[in-house]
Amino acid sequence: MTLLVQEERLERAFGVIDRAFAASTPEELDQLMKGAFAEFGARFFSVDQMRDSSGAIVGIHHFGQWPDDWGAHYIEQRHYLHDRVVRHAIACPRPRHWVDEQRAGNLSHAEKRLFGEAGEFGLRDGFVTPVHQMDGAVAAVAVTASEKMSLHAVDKAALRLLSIYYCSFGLLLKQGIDAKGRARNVLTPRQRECLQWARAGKSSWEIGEIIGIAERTVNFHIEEACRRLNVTTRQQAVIEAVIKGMISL
Amino acid sequence: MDVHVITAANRSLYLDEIAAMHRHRHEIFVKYYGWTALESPDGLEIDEFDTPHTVYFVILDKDGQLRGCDRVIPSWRPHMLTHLFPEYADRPVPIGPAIWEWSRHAPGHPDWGDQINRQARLASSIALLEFAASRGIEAYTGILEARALPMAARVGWRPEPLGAPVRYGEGESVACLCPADLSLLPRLRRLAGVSEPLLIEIPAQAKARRAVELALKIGPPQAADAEAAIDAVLQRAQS
Repeated sequence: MTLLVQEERLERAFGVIDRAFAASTPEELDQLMKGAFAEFGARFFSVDQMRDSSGAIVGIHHFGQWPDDWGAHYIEQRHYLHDRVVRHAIACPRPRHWVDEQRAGNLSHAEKRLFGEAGEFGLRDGFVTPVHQMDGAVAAVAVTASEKMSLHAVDKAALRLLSIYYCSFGLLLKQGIDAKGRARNVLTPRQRECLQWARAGKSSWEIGEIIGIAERTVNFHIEEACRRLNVTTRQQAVIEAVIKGMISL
Repeated sequence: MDVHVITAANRSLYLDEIAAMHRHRHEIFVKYYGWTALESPDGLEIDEFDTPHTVYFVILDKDGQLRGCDRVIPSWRPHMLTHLFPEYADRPVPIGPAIWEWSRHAPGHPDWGDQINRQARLASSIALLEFAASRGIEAYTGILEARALPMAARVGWRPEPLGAPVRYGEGESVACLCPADLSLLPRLRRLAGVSEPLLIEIPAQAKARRAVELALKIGPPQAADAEAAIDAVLQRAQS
């Protein structure tokens, strides 16, 4: 991989970022990024919140094109507890390349199992760019491939740049959608789903078990539903949602 | 005890009370009356007639605790007699701008003692009559429990049956029309030991309920005081 080829790839990355400024929907943005990341051999990409502004480790998936079953499996196996990539993302803004971690050795047994399972789900290499946010929260952009990615210095810089912009634009678009949703009092399908189970008397943990997401993700959805409905407690949210016909009796 | 009117307009000021009301309704109608069809695993009794058009009354004691509730639905909108239990009426169900349906009447609780329960019952009837005065309501329709008829009559309501009594799983009830007789108010207020109106309807624009509640309780300034105050202001303006 000559330096020239890498620099051309970086040039194209700048072009994608220019076009990404004009993306008006998450779908449009994802389409652009899909092509950009594919240049580096990556098939999947995801933006996740690692830590919220209060310092709590959260592991909430924001957006991206990601194999659902891997995400569910990751949470179920609690891989975030021993995934050094998560720890490193929180501690330091430097991106990590899986291949480098694996080569460095001293992987714990649990970590070796994590990489092995990722492989079974078709993820054999990844590049993770932490995004340290103003309020102390930390997000991370994970770009993964089904084969080992050959990334030299300039490639890594290009991927890091694309990842940071993807995170920025994606979160802005999402906030815009959230703001519109709140203004119109509309709930997302997931928010409605969680409230419907709350109406059925289920706890957050039970809801997580039923629909296959983490308990704290359930709480996250219910909190956003509360904001959209202008209430403070879960019971109040259920009542407003039922009265307004958003969930069934 | 005060009775607060909750409508779609001022709902956001009463989120806690609304939740307490649905919990109270579950306690009374599911646990105490045994109406298992209304049971919900989350302990909140909500039915299809709880909509943005429904008006609620919550009876609050001086500590702000919920001591009872009622709800009324405009008769020109879907309500129980037209959409749930039409078989209870042998004649066409009375509907019109001066008729509302009264339901989920739940003053007091078996555990709260006679004094609180009696006060809540009186407050409920006074509130429904004051609301009738404020909206020009001439009559309330509803489905009355047969066993509640004597109590209603003692308070002064004159229920007129709209059909024959109907036996259901847990009891017997009858569709009725109750004229809103405002002449009952002086006697009911005397029995309740209140001279001021009980009903409080806080405007939606009120940012703080407490301020409005206090303002309602403070009487108007004496005429003499007001004149003296205005004179003083005019004097200062002229000097």
